[in-house]
Amino acid sequence: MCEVCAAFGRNRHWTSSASEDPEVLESSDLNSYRTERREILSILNAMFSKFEVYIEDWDGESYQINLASGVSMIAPNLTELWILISKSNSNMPRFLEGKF
Amino acid sequence: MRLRSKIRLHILTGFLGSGKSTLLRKLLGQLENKDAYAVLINEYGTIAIDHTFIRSTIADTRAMAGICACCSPVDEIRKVLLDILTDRERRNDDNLSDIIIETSGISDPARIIGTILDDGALSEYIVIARCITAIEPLSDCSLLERFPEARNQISCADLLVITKLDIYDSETIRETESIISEINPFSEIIYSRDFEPSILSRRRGDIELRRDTLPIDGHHNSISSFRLIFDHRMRWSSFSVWLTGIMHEHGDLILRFKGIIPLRRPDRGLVIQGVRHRVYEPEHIDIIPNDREAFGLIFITQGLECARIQASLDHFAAFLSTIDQNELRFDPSIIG
Repeated sequence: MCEVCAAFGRNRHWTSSASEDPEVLESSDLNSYRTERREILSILNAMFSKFEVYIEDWDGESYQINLASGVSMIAPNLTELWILISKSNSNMPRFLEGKF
Repeated sequence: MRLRSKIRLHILTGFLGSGKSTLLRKLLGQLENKDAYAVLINEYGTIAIDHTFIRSTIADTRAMAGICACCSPVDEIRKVLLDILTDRERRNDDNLSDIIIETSGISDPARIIGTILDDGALSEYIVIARCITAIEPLSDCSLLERFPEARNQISCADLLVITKLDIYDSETIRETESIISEINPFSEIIYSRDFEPSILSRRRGDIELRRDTLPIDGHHNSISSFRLIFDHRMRWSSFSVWLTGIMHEHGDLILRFKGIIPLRRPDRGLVIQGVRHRVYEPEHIDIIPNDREAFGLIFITQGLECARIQASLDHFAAFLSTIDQNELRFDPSIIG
């Protein structure tokens, strides 16, 4: 739980496991987690810029999805992010067709 | 800090009449510490019968009849598993170490796996050990063509057990082995006579991805299994965006995937395994530094060919190269 905003964290998602190596002290590896988050957000925003969707970090572990309509949504992880955006009727990148 | 170790959950599945219950009875009869086990039996019929046989062996045996464990995942399986966990707490019972679920013959194990992985309470206390699939020898593929359930049970398996060896000739058994290993190259295959308690203590996930031992682009009907080649410069962050994206679009067609992904540290890798839309908790392992052959990702798909997935990943890698590299090279350590 974040003690400042009292937001309860969700379960860890498998996509964050690369920086959770039990052999590496969490405190010494905090930077790789931050770097990963930053990289993921950069990639997502590069993909979604043409669809007028902007994604921000929320609470260091979730994603805030901002649609052109002004609607914002919080996705707790990458899996939920794709589900929420597809439900919002926004256009999406098409992975299998290679259209990003 | 965890005060109690997680309970290991074994899923025993197999098509109608494949010999699951016989395997289970044989196994339970051989167990030494029977108090360490709870058994959950799901039958397709409306009256549960099997569990009465089992109850004489294992005290904590629960039945779910008239419902299908995989079709009502949230309510029933979750409820019974939580009951088992609650009972354990109430009795302050440190003995219980394993739960075995025998699914109904038409269950889809992927949905049961999903129920546990998606549930915060269950995944906190339970770890999925292996999915064990019983299979009666097949002389051809007609059963698998008619019943997608049977195919799913094979593709989800971590251990395939060939049953009814006394009824079939050795040629049929060999043919069966070749059919099932083509559908699921990940799975260990054993005969029912070798099915004994020690198999419950084995781990899922010991995999070897050497190129020469891999079935590359084998296919059986519409099921293909292939190894994906990825650019080793691709980082986990980019890879996780691609993998969650492709699973969102086509998770139903990705029956299984399994592989070892490189990490920042050259001597460590990440074992990742999934069943359709669900992904098991990845495991960190030691690898020989810079051994590129150790890495790879194998897919078992239905109606989704190797070339299309490979092209998707290649396009994604090309797309990544168009993103401002300064953005991706951001290093938070410089801001302290």
